[in-house]
Amino acid sequence: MTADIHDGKQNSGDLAEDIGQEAQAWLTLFYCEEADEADRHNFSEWLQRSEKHVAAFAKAEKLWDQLAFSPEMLKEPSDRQDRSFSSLLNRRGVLGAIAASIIVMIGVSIVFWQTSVTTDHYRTALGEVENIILADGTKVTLNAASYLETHISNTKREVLLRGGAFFDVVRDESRPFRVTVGGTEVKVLGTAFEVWEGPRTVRVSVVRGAVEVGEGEENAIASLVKLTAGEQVITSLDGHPGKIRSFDPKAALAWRTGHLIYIDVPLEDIVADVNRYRKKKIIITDAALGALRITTAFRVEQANKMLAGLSQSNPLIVEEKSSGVYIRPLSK
Amino acid sequence: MNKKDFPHSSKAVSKTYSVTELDTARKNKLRSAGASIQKFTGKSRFIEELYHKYNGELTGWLRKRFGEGPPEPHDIAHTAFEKIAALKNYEHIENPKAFLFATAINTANSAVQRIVRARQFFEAELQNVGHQVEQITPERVLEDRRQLDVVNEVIAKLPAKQREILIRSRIQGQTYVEIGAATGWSKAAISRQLNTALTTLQKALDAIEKEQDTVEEAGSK
Repeated sequence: MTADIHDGKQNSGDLAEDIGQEAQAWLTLFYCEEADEADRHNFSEWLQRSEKHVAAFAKAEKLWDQLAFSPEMLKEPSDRQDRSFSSLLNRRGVLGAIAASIIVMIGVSIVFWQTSVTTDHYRTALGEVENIILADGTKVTLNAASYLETHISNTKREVLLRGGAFFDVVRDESRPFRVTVGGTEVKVLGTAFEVWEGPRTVRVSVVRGAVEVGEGEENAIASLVKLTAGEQVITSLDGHPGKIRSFDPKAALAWRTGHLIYIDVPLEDIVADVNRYRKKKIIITDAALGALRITTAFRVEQANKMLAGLSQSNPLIVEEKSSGVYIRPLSK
Repeated sequence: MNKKDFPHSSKAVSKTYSVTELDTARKNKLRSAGASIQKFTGKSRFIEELYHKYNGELTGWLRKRFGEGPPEPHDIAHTAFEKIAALKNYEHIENPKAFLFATAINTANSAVQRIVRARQFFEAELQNVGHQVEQITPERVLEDRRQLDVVNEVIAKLPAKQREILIRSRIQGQTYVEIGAATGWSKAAISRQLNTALTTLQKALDAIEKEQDTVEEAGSK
């Protein structure tokens, strides 16, 4: 491919049009073909050769980005049956391969305590999000109103969690890192991921690396699901994993900076999160109402406003008493 | 404070009853910050409306273009809404639908390693030569209304084959090899057609830029 670009263009490099063509050719090479190390090296050289090259390439990239906004590009695809494409996409994604193969494993062995175990407890108060470094160097951001108990020895790294936390685990092949949340167990080598415990589910989301999620040792048979970066799974409280799906790390981890973002999430999950940040709890009086799907985004300290907003467009009433804030269904 | 008696209607409750009405002190404080309640509720409502308006259409379109995946159309759409919800400002988005679809397209393509790596590589290289890499965010792209209109017009007039290749490469993230496998066209032809389409588009954009420069010059006299 690189031969095409340089063929007979040495002398005409000053012509704006030709430079534009070159820039385009480089762009499409990397987006539409498999570029290799030599291509990257040559592009680098070409880019650095002249300011004109830089400007032309920036222009080409801008156009490429603008294409995604053109309604014309959204029009119906051709009638041609595109079976080969779907199969290519299937082969490419790790998601497909892993989701298709759920490993069944016989129950995990009970934790074996060694004399040199470091045990630590961490507990966050309401509204308090805390950054912690564990004995092995693993960084944890503990969500509000949560509890973390760590047992780290030279052969094991075991962590008990209630509530929620984001983990950035130091890689150590000799000591797999295990997080237990209720009946769900998460096993990692070295990775960045989040664990979130809700009223009815546990959610595990992987930002970097890979984790295995399954039922904890209480159960005789543990079904394992493997997640890689960008993937998320929701398990029931007894650890049984559901479907793997993708997620947006920025939105899912927004809580670390005090933002809460929800798309089509049960009201009870939102309320569970919000209650981590306030003394006066929000209580949903009706189970069906708790399952109501809500889409919203707000800063943690704006929870009351969020509720006021909810009552405007949903069949519910928000009522504040001294014992708590109650959300009732609007009866007919 | 007495509970207000209000008529129950089949419609969702209007704002006769809210948390703030029960707490006079807080109510007064919030009255002065009334604008911010509007703004806050506005954002939430914006996202909710966007979701209810377009989620169905978006998911359907994703399914047609990308098949069942993985990643699944419903997941791609979900992630796109999450990304938009994470934005600080949303009022300036003139064309929420275009914004949403573009976000979804980029999300879908971010499952393709080749594309992700290419983007990162280009960004690093441009930074290396000291080029001000403006974050090409959807907001910035939408600012250039005139350019987007021109791009759209030109694409509508392209030969069907070129448009098809443009869509497959840019929207679906397909390589020449993949396009060839799906359409039966040769790799060389596909490459040629794509470059011709891009050249046509670039020429049209250069033309309006020249136009704008002349207008600015005339205006400054």
